[in-house]
Amino acid sequence: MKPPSSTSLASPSKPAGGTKAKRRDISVRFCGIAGDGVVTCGRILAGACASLGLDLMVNDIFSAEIRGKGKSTTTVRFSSRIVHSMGDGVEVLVGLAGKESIEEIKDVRPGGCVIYGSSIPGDLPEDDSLAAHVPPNIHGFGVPLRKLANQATGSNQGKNIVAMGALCYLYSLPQEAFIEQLRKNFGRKSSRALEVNIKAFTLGFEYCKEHYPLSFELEVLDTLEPRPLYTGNDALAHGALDWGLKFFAGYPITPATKIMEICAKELPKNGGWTIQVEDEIAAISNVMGAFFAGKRAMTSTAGPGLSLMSEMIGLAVMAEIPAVIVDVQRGGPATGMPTKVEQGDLNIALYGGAGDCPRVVMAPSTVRECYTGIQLALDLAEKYQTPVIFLSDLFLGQRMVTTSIPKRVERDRCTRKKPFPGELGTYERFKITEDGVSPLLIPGEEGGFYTITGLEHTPSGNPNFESNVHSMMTEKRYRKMKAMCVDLPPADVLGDKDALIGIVTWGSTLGSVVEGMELAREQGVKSKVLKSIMINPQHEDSFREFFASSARIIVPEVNYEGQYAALLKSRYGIQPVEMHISAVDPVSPAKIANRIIEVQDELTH
Amino acid sequence: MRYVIVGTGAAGATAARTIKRMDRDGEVVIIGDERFFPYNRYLLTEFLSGAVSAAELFHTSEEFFEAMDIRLRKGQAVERVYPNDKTIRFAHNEVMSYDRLLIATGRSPSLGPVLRPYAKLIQRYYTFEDILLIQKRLPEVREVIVSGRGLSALDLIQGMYRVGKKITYITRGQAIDVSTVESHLMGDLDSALAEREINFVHDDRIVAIECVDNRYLVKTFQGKELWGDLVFAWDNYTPNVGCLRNTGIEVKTGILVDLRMRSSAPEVYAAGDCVEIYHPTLKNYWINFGWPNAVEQGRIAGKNMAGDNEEYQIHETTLFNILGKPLEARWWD
Amino acid sequence: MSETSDALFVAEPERAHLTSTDVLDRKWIDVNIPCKAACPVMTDVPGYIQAILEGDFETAYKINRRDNVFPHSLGRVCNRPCEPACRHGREGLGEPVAICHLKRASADFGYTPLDLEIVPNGKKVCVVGAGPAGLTAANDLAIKGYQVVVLEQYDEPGGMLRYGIPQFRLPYDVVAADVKSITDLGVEIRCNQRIDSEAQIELLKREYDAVILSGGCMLPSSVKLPGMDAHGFYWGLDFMMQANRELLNDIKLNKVVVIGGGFTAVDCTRTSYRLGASEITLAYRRTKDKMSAGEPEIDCMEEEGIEMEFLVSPVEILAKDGKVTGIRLVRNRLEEGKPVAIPGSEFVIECDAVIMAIGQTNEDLPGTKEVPEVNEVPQKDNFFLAGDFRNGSGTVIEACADGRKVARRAHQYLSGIKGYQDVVHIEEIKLDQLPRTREDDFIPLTTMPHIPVSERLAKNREVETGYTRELAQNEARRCYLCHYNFQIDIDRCIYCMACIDAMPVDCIKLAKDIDVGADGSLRYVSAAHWEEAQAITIDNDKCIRCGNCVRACPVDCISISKYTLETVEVE
Repeated sequence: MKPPSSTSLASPSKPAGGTKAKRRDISVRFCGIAGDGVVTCGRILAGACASLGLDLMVNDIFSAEIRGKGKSTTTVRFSSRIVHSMGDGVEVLVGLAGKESIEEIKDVRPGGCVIYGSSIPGDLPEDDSLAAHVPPNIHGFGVPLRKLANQATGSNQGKNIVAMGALCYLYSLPQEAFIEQLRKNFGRKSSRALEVNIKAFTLGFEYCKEHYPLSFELEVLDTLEPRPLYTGNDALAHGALDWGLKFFAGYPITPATKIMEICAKELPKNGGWTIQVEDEIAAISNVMGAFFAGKRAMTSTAGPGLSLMSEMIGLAVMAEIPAVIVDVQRGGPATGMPTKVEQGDLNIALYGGAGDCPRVVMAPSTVRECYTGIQLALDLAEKYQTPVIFLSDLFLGQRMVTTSIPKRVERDRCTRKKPFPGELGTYERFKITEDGVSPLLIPGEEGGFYTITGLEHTPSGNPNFESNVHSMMTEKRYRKMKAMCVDLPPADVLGDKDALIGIVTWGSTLGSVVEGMELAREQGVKSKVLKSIMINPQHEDSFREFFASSARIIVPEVNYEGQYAALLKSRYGIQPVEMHISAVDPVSPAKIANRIIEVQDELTH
Repeated sequence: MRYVIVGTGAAGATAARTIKRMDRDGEVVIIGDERFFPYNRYLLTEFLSGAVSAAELFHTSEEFFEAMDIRLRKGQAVERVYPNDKTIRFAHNEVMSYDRLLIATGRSPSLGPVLRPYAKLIQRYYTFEDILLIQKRLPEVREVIVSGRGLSALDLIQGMYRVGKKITYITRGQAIDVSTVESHLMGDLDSALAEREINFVHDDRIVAIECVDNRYLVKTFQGKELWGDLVFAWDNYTPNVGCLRNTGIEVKTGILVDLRMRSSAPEVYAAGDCVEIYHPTLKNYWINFGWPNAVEQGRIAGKNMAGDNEEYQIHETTLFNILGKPLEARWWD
Repeated sequence: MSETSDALFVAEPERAHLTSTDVLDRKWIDVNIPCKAACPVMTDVPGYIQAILEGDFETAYKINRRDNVFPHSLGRVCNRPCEPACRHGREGLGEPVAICHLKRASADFGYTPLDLEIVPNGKKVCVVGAGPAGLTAANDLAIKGYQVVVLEQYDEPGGMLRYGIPQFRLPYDVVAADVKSITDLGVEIRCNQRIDSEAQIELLKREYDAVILSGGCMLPSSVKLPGMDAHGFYWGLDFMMQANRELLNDIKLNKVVVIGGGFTAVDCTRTSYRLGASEITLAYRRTKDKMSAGEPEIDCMEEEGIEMEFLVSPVEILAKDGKVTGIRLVRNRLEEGKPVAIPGSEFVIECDAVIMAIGQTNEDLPGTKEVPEVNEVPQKDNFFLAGDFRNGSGTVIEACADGRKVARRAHQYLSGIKGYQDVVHIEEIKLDQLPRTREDDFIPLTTMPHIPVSERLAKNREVETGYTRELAQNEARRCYLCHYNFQIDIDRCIYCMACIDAMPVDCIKLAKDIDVGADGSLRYVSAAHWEEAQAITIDNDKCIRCGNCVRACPVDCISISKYTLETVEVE
């Protein structure tokens, strides 16, 4: 794989850096420090692009410092084709902060551009000057962000909106789409806020029109419908709310807090509850209590919280109490990297806790799957009386994309298996059944008194430590996992079905894999990928069929030890090519493509 | 030793190369205010009419600067030179120091006080960006109005003629005003222009321009009203010396330099179309014009900056290849 | 201390304020109100611009009338030392405020006859020469109660204003209006009275309590070149005076070469244009940026099609049959900034008129050379010298300043007061009284409307037509109003940096120390690191008075006060 041609500026054949060749796919990164309004930039650009019918993905990277001078970036990738990942590098870097943006230049693609502030007061030393670091194969556009913001707002606020105006002109985007977003963003605050922001935008636009009249053009295909914007966390929370969630308990933690915020706002409207509890142990306990009492319940956390919950998950398995635990993974172990992405919690999700402890583990790959997947998770928990660990991650949870999400689909929800009326007198809470699922009553129903306990127990729930009872009950609990397969969606194969190179991945890495496959395909190498939201249990036939049809299997994932590969190896006996990507940023499609091509080379030689 | 060169034209690029050849370890920074890699300005008209490709237009590339270990900063304007501090200040407030400085900013069409208020209505014809903008606008253009002196007016007229536009040329005198063309050629020139069916407006000048419904109404001193889809106008080509204002460095119209291309400030050199040198044959100050001389001056400035001691020999102005090609070949072949 | 004439002109609203004679406060004005400090008469520029901003043109006029006596005329022809000093013109901040055009607007729209209470003191003063210096002295002394008589050699008063400057820049009636405002105070001007002997002066000295001689510089600088006697050769000021007395209306001019780089040289080219010359060249021995003529005048000259030659000096005037046929010039090179002829570089420009406008000198009046200087003012008993006559050819505003200085000394001499002292009035202002917003800083310079280039042949038609009231108020909004002093009260500051976040330029600093010079100048020792900072301070020299910091301050610890300067008599 060669990087995209660097000759667009250097080579005289395309001297204007694409003034003629229209661009179809652009990534813009805003870089600033606290207070620069980086996130607002991302939201406005995303909103404007979405309203134009472009497909897009937004990724925010915040400094880990809670408050202060740390750097944050927002990257928006938009295209008239489907955007699967954040891609490699960016087209445009907007340096709202000068000095802090310097290290971002390395991500700007040749032929791209850097918009830098040209009215920083005082003497700017060369080392701190963003412009001084712009290499010749990148266009630099100086815009007096600070001065124009000052002019518009009378303060130093508004550099971000000025930059937005500049960007709008430089890439020939329709002004109205942006103005509309400004209305949405600032219209609520006050008419003055809206007015000054529109002025800031216009000043940035007009400045570029006067000083850099030659703009780039973006090709907008008119086939795309404008679609709404969701983050993974949004979609996940709304998926649960739309699927009968009545109770949420949690303790805030980056990057999962947003889910709790949405639930806190929305649940009371439907007679539900959100409780912020003292820690994650309390959170899972609350959720189990609510489910125990017959309400759909959920908690969300990140790796450190999941560690604390391990003991209670064991109880949920033993006592067969449903629970849905969302883990928006971040860099670990311990406090780790709160604002960076990693897929490192698979092992604790699969194996954490004491004893033989079967549980459901799921991992959505797309924002849309956050919505549909959490609904399946709630159903599986309810129906199979089991904890379900739902592994999202920072990049999936915080990324914002255009997506179509079915609003309040009417579909039969799973319901609990209840005892027949005749059984009530002799109700056994843990009755041995063929599928391992015992009828479940809400406590307090007449004739249905029972005990639950963390101790091993007989079908009626009485503690019992005899060997045969323990074997029977353990087997019953594992049987549920097998029985569940009828309700599981088969895994999908994406890409060239006849390809010999097969990729299996999980979670948010899928997008980069799909794009990497496309890049490899452009180089003439075909591949396919198996997409499954289920980690445990799995629709094993789909997997076996996929492995059988592939000469080589690649398993890319964002952790050091290859946690998913280990599972696949033990479960299916395969010997995959493992890609342990130690990334703090979203996975590079080019890296995936490179590996596909390397594997292809090995196959042919 | 850090050499800073302001200007990426013929003189600047040549000086950079020359310095680097003589002082391999010297740090050379070359700064240009255009967004593009340095190109041959004199070929812009040919590029516009499609006679040369973009590949022929550009004489440098990223690889060239990398190979020569020259740091190019393009698209960045130098606003002021501080010869006492040996620093320069960019338009974006960055301050950069130098050990030796070369000003090679060239010259560009300028508007006098009458035209200045209409600057936004006038299309410049000078940079590659201008040409690309003109290219964008050309489909809607039928008639153009040209007012300006010198060979560049001829160049522009030829360019517009080649792309099939109807031309009105406003001249202050009786005929086309090209003072540098020797008189025996003027007849040829007149007939060549006559063939192109150019609408001549003699003894007149633009005093006002209005934009009405995307067309331009030009009013002249004599009271004529002319319509065009594009207006090209300038008063003079003047050396770009804005960054030297109030620096104490002597400037007449161009930067005054001696034969070693030294300005009046220590360690500050100047070369190319932005300088003015006393020309004993002409008994006058002389502003360089044209590619070959700019290259020569750039070479000498570069050598002297790197420690040599060479004097510029003023040649008879070589009009026939003033723009790199024989005059006839460019205008009436 | 007694009140000076200041209060007679502009009644300041009664507000509580401090007065200070502290050198720090006096120095603050010099550093912080650069336009005022640059003006030879220390005109209260922000004062009158603020009045225009508030729509009070009358007060604006009165401030000008008080400070520089000739608002109508100076509003057109002042050489504007204030404008290059203007803080708005500093690097990165745009163009200076059009202070002079605003002065004109104050006169155009705010002119009002003065209604001063003058108490006659019974003493008589004679001023010789009704030019800017003489008239200023006459004005100041008349206000003090003196009976003043001005003697003028020509038909009309005004001196250079009347005869040296073309009507298309300064119409006669404009000069007349300014002169009338002085005669309204009781000053008597006697025209066609030439004083050119020691005896005459001695007579005047006996007849009057004091005599001020301000005869100006009306003679051409003494340069002798071959051919100057030919028909078609003019000295610059002579040419202008003849043209202004309508004596040149019938001459035939075709090709004209004007030598010089000052206002008169430029006026000569433009007058030649109006007299019908078709090819006019201005030849100057140095470079364009060294020309003493103002940029607007040079622009107008270029508009009118006048060519320029730089680094050339005249060698000889060529003539045939007693008529000018051309001029031989030589090219110069610069040596240490001085023009030096290049041998062998002579060349000829053919022409039928040569106008030499290279400066003027004063007449040699017997007895005046020996007048000694007393505290910078030439004085011998009751005889004083003032203006260009003493100082050599200068600008109008410098002449006014000198006239004022001499009048003060004459008053001191005649009244026995001890002298004069500067006092600074300091008045606390609230943010909502600050009449500007940050937005105003981005208003582009308001260009002066001109008559079209094609209508410039009418000889006496004024080219600049003046701002309208609206344009003037728009331009006034651009002024930073540098008489406001912004200060941080360190005792109340919580070092939150909100002001630093909000500052538009590099104006608020963390300082380790502030050095106070003996003259009241301040030097900030900036702190490189936060830990070293002893104070957070506004550098008033950098401050553009936008008010951002005051608005941003959460604890209201930034104060605004207005500084005005007054000169009072010490008895």
